[in-house]
Amino acid sequence: MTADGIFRFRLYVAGNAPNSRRAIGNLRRYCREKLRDRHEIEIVDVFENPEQALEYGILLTPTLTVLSPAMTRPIVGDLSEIEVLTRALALEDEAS
Amino acid sequence: MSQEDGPSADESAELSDLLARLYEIQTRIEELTGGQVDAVVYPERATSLLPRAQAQLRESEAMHRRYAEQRAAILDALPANIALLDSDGRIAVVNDSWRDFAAANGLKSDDAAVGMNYLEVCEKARGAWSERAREIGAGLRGVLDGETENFSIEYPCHSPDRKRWFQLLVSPLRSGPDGGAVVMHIDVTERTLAQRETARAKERLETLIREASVGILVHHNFKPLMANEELSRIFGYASAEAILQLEDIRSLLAEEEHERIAEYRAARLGGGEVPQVYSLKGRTREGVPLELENRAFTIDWGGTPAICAMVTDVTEQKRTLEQLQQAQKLETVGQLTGGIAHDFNNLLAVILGNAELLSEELADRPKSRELSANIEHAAERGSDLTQRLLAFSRQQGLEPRVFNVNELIAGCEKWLGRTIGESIEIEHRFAEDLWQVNADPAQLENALLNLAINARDAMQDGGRLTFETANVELDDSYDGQDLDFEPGAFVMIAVTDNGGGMSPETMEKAFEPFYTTKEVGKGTGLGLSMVYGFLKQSGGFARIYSELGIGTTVRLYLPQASAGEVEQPAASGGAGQHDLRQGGETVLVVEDNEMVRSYVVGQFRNLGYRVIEAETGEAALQRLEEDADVDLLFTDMVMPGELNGYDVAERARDLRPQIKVVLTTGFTESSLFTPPESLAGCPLLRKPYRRSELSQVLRQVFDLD
Repeated sequence: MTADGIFRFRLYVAGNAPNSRRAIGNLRRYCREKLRDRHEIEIVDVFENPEQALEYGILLTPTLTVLSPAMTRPIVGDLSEIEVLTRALALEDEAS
Repeated sequence: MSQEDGPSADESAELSDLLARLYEIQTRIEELTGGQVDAVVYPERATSLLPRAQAQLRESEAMHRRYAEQRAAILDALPANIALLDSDGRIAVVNDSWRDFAAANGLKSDDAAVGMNYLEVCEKARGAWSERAREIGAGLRGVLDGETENFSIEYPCHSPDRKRWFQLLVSPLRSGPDGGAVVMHIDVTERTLAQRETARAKERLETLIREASVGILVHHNFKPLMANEELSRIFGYASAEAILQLEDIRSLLAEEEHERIAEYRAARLGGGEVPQVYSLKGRTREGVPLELENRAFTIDWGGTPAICAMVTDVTEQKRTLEQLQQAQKLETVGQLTGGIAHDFNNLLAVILGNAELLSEELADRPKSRELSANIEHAAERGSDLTQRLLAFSRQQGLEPRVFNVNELIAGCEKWLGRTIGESIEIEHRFAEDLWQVNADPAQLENALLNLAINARDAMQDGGRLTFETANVELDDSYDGQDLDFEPGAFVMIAVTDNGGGMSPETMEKAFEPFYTTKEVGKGTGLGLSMVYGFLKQSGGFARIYSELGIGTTVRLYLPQASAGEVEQPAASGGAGQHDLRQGGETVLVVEDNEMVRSYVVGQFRNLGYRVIEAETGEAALQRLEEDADVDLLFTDMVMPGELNGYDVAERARDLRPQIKVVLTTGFTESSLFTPPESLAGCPLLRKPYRRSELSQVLRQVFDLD
């Protein structure tokens, strides 16, 4: 659990590319359903902002990083297997 | 590498090698990322889409274009103003109708408000529309936030030239990754107007049914489906709803009607013959019987064959009709018995008179004299009966005077007590300041005696008899059983017993002559008839109220004496016992009935008078002119010919101002004719009369000198 209870995500995408779009949709749906009113999503388009990606060592899109609670390992992929995220956030208790 | 030349052989070999490695690298990346990666970022800050992603993107963009076209076509074809909002409430897409509506309502037609935040517009609306707009805003937010499934509201949107109504529907967009909602404004003006017209028609019909002055009941299988207020009023229920609670509407009907109603229903549903209008016995919630008139027919009630009954309460109407018939019956019987009694009186006068003469003749033969005395006795009893009949038919001779009823009752309590026996206690409750009445006190005593005897017979094991008096003023609203009852001031005399009482059937017939509940030989059935006739003749009326097992009250109503009557001094004095007067004067007897005449003539002669006879008024006047010595005119009232008794007497007075007049009758002509002033003091002798009465009247007349 974060200090203020807010989950902060940063999602790196490549414009309108299919996996990126799916990742955005999956994340938003996940947050709407599981983290209503306690999440923030930042979307970084690597076509427009490659420096930021390089700065954080992001080489592939889509990639999700969790800023708060801080998670060192980013998640690569379209987030269609949402259990991965749940496990990563250790939210199994809440989810069940 | 230049554009003009193709690559050299070496370059080509290197290029081929690089492409093979590139393919290998890309394939490896795909392997490592499970196919879920679409771009790579190079350290030189360039970004490149992977080839498969490029193909997918092209394909998906084409598909999106196709979808967008199809969506636009569908949206444009729908007869509603439609907009798609994104998850923030911003208008993303609108259809042609929306665009047209926006243009018609003054919005910039180019963008048709695309990009505008619809949610904010609603939530921040001001002015007359703000309340409705905020309501819509709240609904929309609920859908966008996924809190409600749908939102719908109908609202009026009238333009200056016509009235319109819209329905707003908001549904969530779940398919897109961003959510959002569809907003539809559907023109429902036609439907709304039709609904309003239907509602108005329904309301008018409901008013009609509710206000109708006929009870309406619809039932299926005797289970009530609909009832109106009048129906509940007829049957004494609080409301139409209370009727609908009934399990079976037959509980509104008398037990004996259930079978008939079931038969009617079966016949009606089977297409058989059933009367359209028929009488029915009902009962109120409290069980009071009702007379109903019912019109019933089958109707289709929402697909179910039902029966509609229109019920009218005719209880009052029937009762009035029955009373009228009863009153007419009493009237007719009264006339009939009056006529017969009159004839009987003449016969009895002859029998009695001749028996009296015979008794005198037989003074020295006691055995035979006993026989004639029997005849006299029987004739007297017969005369008694005819008196009662005449009383009932309101034709008895009344001698009204002004008196106080309280005093009269107090005066006869003693002998009444002796008559009805010690086991019955007599009580009275007299009104103070009781008005005076102008009636025949002897007949009132007689009436009270009759009632007391009836009461005694009803209280075989003793009881209490109460006389009560009161002043009552009755107006038109008085629920008169007597249809010829006239409003006014009455003295009421109630005679109450706590005996066995009588049934409604008996009560109804109690005033009819010859109706008796007593054993054969014990009652004539004339007692109450007499009371009834006496009161009617005196300008009053009588009432019976009785309940089985509780007792009976008979109320007599006599009109209050008028001021003029009260001032008149009481004009009657009882005549004591006097010796028969023996006269020597001349009497002219006018009587059309030969038997009566010869009897009267015999009596007069016996008493020592000189007698001249005449059969008609005309003949009498002729005799009067011929014979100068006539001192007394003794005339019947009703005779064949032009002249009645009054006429004859007046003409006689013209000829002989000093002549004495005695009138005689079987009826009370006082009720049929008004005596002229000149004859006001003349005695009236009622048939049949005894010799002593005759003699007394004559003495009275001649002694007045």
